[in-house]
Amino acid sequence: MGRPAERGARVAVVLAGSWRAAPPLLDVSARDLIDVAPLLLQTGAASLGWWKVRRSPVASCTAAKELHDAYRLFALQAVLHEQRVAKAFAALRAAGVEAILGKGWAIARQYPDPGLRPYGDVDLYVRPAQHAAAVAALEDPPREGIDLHRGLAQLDDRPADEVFARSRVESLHGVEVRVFGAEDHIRLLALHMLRHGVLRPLWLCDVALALESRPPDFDWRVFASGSRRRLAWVRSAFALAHALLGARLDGVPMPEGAARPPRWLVPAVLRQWSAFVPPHGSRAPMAASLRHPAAFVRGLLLRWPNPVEATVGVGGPFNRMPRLPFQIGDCLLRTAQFARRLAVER
Amino acid sequence: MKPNARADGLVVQDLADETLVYDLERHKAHCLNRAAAAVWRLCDGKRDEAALARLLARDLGTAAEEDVVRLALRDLSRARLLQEPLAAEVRVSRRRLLRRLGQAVALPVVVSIVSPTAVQAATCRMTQPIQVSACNASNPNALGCCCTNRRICASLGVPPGGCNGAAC
Repeated sequence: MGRPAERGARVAVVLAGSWRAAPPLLDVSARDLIDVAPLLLQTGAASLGWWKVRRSPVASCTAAKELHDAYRLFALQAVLHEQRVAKAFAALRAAGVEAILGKGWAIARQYPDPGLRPYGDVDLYVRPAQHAAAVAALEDPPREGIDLHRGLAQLDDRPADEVFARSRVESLHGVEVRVFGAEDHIRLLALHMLRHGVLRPLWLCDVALALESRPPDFDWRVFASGSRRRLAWVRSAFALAHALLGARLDGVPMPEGAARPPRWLVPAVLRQWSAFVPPHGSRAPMAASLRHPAAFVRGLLLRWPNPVEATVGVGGPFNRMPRLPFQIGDCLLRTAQFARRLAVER
Repeated sequence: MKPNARADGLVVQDLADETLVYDLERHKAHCLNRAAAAVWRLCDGKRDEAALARLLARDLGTAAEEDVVRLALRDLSRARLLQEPLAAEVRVSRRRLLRRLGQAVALPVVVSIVSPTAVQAATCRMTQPIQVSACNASNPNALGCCCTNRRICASLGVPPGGCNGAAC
């Protein structure tokens, strides 16, 4: 493993098994913790870091204290976010709109403690026919922080009626909140994470948690339905969670060789985790830098896709082939989309 | 003195061994240890210090005297967690109390939580950019969101007037 991935490897060591009620004992030096604490803080994994560190000999160092404070803040934010989720569902239901909540609270509730999994957006998925009504229903209160999806996003390879039929209702502050069925949610979590290039270690913890806390009646046949390519991607995510964070794959049907990720995958993710990279959408728009060559070049470099997002971006397989062609392909694809959008806007 | 705990404008989260309180009006987060949280919850405006000390001893299963309650009330008042602040500053020395009562008694502690530079786990989007003016401490809903000044409102302790998070 080269030097650039070393910090990412330390992040993986700190987060391994951190989603469990009784996480494995952590053996890191205070120096290593100081090194990775900023990354954990920046990527939303600070609470999980604290969960692991709290019973270790380095629990009293300054870096651990920062992680502890983050955990406390996230625990408080969880209360505020829960109220927001409940309000949104109450407003939608009053308007006759049935939505499904994905990611965010839907996975945070499965962690053993309320402060472990921070989230900002409330991701709601509605049938395209109900989208307009949902937008209107969420106008008051304003839909700030609510990400309303028209359709089922990465689950659009499955019949919507079946996904809704499999969804479950949970009670939150006296409001019925609909969440995806376990077979659908785990797929959504994995595909969302891959689409964003496994940018945040927290997302891989989500996948590991969803895997290990799946209900006894989890239907692998249902899980495997839909696009074969996406299924293979999700299995690669499972293999990655196992290889990097020690997620248990007992009872998970994996085809021959699928339990081991391709050789490029683990180093690529560890490189990604070694430095904080702002996610898509939070960067300065490329259109704003068109007249500033230096900013334009910086923007291009920042947008160079990592091997994972490039593979998913061009719909490629997670196999042994080198990733550079996929990265070039993805870059060209995005450039074309950007040019098209620019032309439409003008 | 019969203190009354503040209830409005607060978000409370009970954790295993501490209670977290977020003041929605002042945008400050506080962490109360078990003893401080117990005193705070017992403050109903009807009980005096002696009654509070008796009930505290019962709740914690240890000896508690009025000075311990006074110490808690002083810290709670400073954190603005009582409906009415204490009329006069209570003169209780934590060190002296600790020396007198020994380590066996958990003294009440109320600390303000320092905001680390943590961002949310959300996939930030600029599709609905939030106005810079909206992204400040007086609008907790904007916390964790991307601002149009390309910084992230990172935590609950955002100072008035802008974001303090990492650049997008």
